[in-house]
Amino acid sequence: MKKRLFYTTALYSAVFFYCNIVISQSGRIEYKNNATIGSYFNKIKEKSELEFKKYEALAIYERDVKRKIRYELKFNQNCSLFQPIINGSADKEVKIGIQAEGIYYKDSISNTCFIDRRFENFEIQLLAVDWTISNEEKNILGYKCIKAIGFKKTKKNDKETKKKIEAWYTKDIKLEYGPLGFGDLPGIILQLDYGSYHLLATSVEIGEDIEIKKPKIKSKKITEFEFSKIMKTRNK
Amino acid sequence: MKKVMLFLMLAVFTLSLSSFKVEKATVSDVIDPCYEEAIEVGETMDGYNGKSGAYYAFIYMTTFCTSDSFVNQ
Repeated sequence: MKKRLFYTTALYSAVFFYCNIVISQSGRIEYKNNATIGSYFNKIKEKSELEFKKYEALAIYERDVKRKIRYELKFNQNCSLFQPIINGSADKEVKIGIQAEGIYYKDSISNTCFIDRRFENFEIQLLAVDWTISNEEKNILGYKCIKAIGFKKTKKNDKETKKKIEAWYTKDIKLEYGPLGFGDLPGIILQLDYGSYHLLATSVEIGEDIEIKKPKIKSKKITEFEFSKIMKTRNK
Repeated sequence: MKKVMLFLMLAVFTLSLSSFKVEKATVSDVIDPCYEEAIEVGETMDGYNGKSGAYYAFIYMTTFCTSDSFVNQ
């Protein structure tokens, strides 16, 4: 009798767990950022150590601020929203860092980032990524994750260059979302390495019915290429 | 013999100059004018209100320059 009760409870628990993870497909993931120095500063360092000296203090300052910022990914069946977590008690420089990060919204039609630069709001249409799924696996917070390598292609002086992305996704949450607008993989991304961002999930909450709406921010629609081109010019 | 030596010296001199130019061109090719401007602001404001130049350069960079989450043109 006790055995039967045990097996029945175990079965119900398994069904409940499966329903929460596979069927409800709604929740919230928190990430920390083990940031390194920015891609731009790294490029300078590769070319000239002497030139890098000029940028070193800023590169380290930015890295340290980014390490203090935590991020959240809210998702449901239809869309996702990725943004830094606003912390009222944070230092002034961290608050500045949080404000400078964008809000990433992704659904079946759009994949955009809302960001404020040069006193103007931009809605950036993010570039698609070419993914290659590897057979490498590891465990993150109890979820079996698979490694995928992707590239964002850019053009510089008519030469095509690539920016690498390394993502670890889990099929246990079968939704094509992740941090910084990345996704389109057979599961949600729990770890992402891209430029100076090294985002690692620290908690996963599943089962809440989360309502997500596309941010209503009056902004200029622009492509990722166009945005980078404008931001590279001098402001004065 | 003297002519050969002179020719070799000239060749080495030209090569060293050209390689220096190549390196310089590669660095300047990477330089982002907006980040350069951030550094200039940091240098000017260094020490103001007890804050470091990096603090002001960071504010400038996060207000006017691109982010590492996007591709760089």
